Amino acid sequence: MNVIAPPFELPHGLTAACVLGVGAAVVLAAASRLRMTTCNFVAAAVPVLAAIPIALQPSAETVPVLLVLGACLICGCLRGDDLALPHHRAEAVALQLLGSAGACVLATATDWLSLLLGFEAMSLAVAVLAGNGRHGRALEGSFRFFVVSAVSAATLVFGIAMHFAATGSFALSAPPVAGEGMQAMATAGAVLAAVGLGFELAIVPSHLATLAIVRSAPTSCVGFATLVSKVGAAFAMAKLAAAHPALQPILVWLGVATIVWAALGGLGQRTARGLIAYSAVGHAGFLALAAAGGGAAAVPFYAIVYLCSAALVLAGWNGENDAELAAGRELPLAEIARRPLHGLRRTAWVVGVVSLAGIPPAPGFLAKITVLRDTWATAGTTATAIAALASVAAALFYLRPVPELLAGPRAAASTVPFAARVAIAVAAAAGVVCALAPAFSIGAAR
Amino acid sequence: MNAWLPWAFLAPLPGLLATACGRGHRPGLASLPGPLLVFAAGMLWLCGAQQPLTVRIEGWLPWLGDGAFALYLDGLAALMLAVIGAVAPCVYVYSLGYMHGDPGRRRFFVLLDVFIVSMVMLVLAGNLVVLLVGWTAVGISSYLLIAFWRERAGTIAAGMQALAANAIGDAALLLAIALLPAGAGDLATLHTAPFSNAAGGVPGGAATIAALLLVAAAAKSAQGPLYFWLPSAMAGPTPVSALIHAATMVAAGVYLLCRTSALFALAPAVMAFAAWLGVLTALAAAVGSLQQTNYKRGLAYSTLSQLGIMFAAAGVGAPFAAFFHLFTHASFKALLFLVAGIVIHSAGGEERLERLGGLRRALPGAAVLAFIGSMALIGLPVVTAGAFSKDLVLEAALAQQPLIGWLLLGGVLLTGLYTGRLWFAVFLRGDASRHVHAPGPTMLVPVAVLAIGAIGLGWLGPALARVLAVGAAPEFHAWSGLGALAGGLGLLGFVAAGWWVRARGSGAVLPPFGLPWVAGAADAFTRSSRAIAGVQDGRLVGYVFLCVVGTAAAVTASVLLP
Repeated sequence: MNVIAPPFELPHGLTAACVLGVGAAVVLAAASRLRMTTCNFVAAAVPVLAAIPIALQPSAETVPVLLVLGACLICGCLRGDDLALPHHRAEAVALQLLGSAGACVLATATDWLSLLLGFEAMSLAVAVLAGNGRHGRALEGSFRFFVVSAVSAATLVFGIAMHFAATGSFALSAPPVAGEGMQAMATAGAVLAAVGLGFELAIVPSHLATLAIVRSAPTSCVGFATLVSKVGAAFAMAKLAAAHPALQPILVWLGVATIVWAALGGLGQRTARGLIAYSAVGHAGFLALAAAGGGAAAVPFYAIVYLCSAALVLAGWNGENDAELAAGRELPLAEIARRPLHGLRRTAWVVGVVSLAGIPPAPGFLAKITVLRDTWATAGTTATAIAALASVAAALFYLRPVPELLAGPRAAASTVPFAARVAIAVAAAAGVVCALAPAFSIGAAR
Repeated sequence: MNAWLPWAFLAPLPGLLATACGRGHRPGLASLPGPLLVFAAGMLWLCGAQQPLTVRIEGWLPWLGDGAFALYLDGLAALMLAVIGAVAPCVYVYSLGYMHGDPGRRRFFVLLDVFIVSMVMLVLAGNLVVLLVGWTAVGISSYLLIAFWRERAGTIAAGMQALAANAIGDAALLLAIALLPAGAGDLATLHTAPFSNAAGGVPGGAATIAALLLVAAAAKSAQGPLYFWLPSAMAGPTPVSALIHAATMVAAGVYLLCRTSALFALAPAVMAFAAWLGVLTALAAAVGSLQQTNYKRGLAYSTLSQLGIMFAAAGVGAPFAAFFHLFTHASFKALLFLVAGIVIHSAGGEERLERLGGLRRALPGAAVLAFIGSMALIGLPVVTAGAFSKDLVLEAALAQQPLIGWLLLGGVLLTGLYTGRLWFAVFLRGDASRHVHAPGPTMLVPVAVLAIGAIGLGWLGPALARVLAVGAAPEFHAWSGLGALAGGLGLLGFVAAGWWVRARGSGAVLPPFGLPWVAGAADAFTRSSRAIAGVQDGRLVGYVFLCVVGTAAAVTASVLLP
């Protein structure tokens, strides 16, 4: 019997990007008529809708796309009312969906043009989202992010051009054409492109923009910049490193530098945003190590563990009080913890930071061990030992707020929105599976 | 039945959940059966077949060399369970009285339960991975308990110090796990690992692993330069000081040295280092205790000193003597801390020695119990447990490394001095007419139980040697020339301290001098942290400059690297 194959099959990344793009367009078209609750519902529902066709047809792209969609879902569940004006919520949801579409494209890119397209879609979405905050610092942060993203995009484009000149192709893994210096040119192009792409991951040297965003942007943007961008960029970086083995040592040392920077910088942080910002940078370093290590499971496993741990922290924190936001003040962690906070949020926050700190047997510990094992095999003792020591030092700033969080006064149940409960439930379920059955999780990721 | 004993670390979980979720008026009561079950597990093994029990679930962490979930119960672990299971219920009962009326009492007992679960897991760990889980978890529960009264100035900072020191040990253990060849993480057979195998060998061989384990042990037991966190940890509630920072968690380092003694035998240089680290800590901490004006900090330095003696014993190749001293020390040091708690509680929270004093009349029971604990700490022959274990350590040290032995003997005089100074300053000198709150039976009875241990546990030495199957069983003497000399020196120090306190009052202290490295290291970290965070100063040109320089460096490296 002859089976007639469909004439054209859309890759998973593009399928998801199309659904998200349509969702964004619909939201924008109806923006003036959408209420806040409808916007929130759409922000959470569209990623779920996009995930259905992906989950039904498993392929190599399924895990990256589902993880990006999971991150998008969690961002949709975070607080959305801390924007400059209430009607900005529809725009914010549209930008979130558009940026996530870019992340899907980036995570599944096999050629340089898709990679550039995804990169631009994500960075532009974040830059505009960040500017929607209620105070002047949000605009400042947005502008800084935009400028650094432009510099990084230029680096990426220059790298793509060099690689194209050396290979004559836009394919990520195209070999250099015969000729003197072509191999070196292709490698230099890949390095430039990786450094440019590192901006989305928030690794050294372009991590400062992410720090600026996290410290000033509205909650939903913080979630997007720390979850969606990272997951998308990590998968793209892994592909890049696999296609260009000469890139791996550079990526390892960029990752180690990022981890050390975040550990030392984080030790002095006393605010919730400071903790989240340096944590995002530190884990970007580990994702870079995972991408450089070349292990098939390290990036997806680390990404999912980071996703659920960071989501718990974000859902536990879920933005500051409006008055403080308007005044542009970052709240000290101890002060937040001393205010009435629902037990669910406190628990989510504590479990999240313990996992982010890599305390055994939390999933964060298992993920770090996975990455360090790969780093040991590919980069040797020095890089692994520095990363391990910096990671242990970073545990100090993660654990500092825990006594306050455990002991603070409890608020009534009604203070936890339904969406935040969904985010906590999804993240906790994923975290439990990763902690109790790491072998299963890694197998599934592989 | 016996097959379930290695799962004893789960025993406190029901109590933990009941306390966490309960609504009763006496939170903490539900937690009490947990440590009793741990004690029962240890005793069941000791009274039963005494065959090592193993649990091994393969493939828990399949990407590690030895990623099985492994539990191991032998004589050493069973005795340690007995120590934990005996001291912990005393501390729990005592805490019911001590924490009465504290609004965070439920959280306190939950954290204590978490600590017991972690500590028992540490003891029952069959391989390094499971050990690391317990090792880290006891560090974190210790941090949370030190910072329990978080609103009091300095408690969180003290907890952070403990966390930082413990993190150094955790990192060392993590590195040891990463370095070991595949399948070689089993604690009972660590010394048989193929260290020199060229294919999967360890750089530096067994000595590297032993050195890393020594760093981990020194961090947990606050030895050498990592001593600083233990005195600061006294900011926590006194029952915590008694259970965690005197009897159990700080002893985990000594337990690890005993557990891996066969590995250390392969690395004589590391053993010698451990011995000198121990003896120097013992002497320096003894002097440090004489400089303290705070009652609990004085006791904390005393703990450091005694742990140093245990390290020295393990370092000279006498792990049994080290463990025996751990066993007896747990009872009398917990006793001394709990008495300190009674004193502080009765004096309305006052901990300064110059403000205490003259409490013998007001707290006669506490004074007697503290005297028993002090005599056991000095090692008064025949009538105290400390004499038996300390004699064994001194004998082994004098036989193996005489210089260390003589230094330890000199340390006994210092032990007498600091013990006597604390006892005389609190109970004899000072205003005897003050009004204090008398302690209730929930606080006195557990201390009395520990006092029985402080007197009688030494006689269990031969039984311990049998359980631990020590090759050439050591000789135990109720009375010996060395014991008499050590006891005499201790008593001399005790009496001299009495004279000193009489002459100088309750605040008699040595002039302070400290090691500047702790403050220096903390300052260096703070400065680096500020410098790094300062780069994010908002100036866009700096951000772009960093991008350009970083990119140039990465491209240059890619060209220069082979």
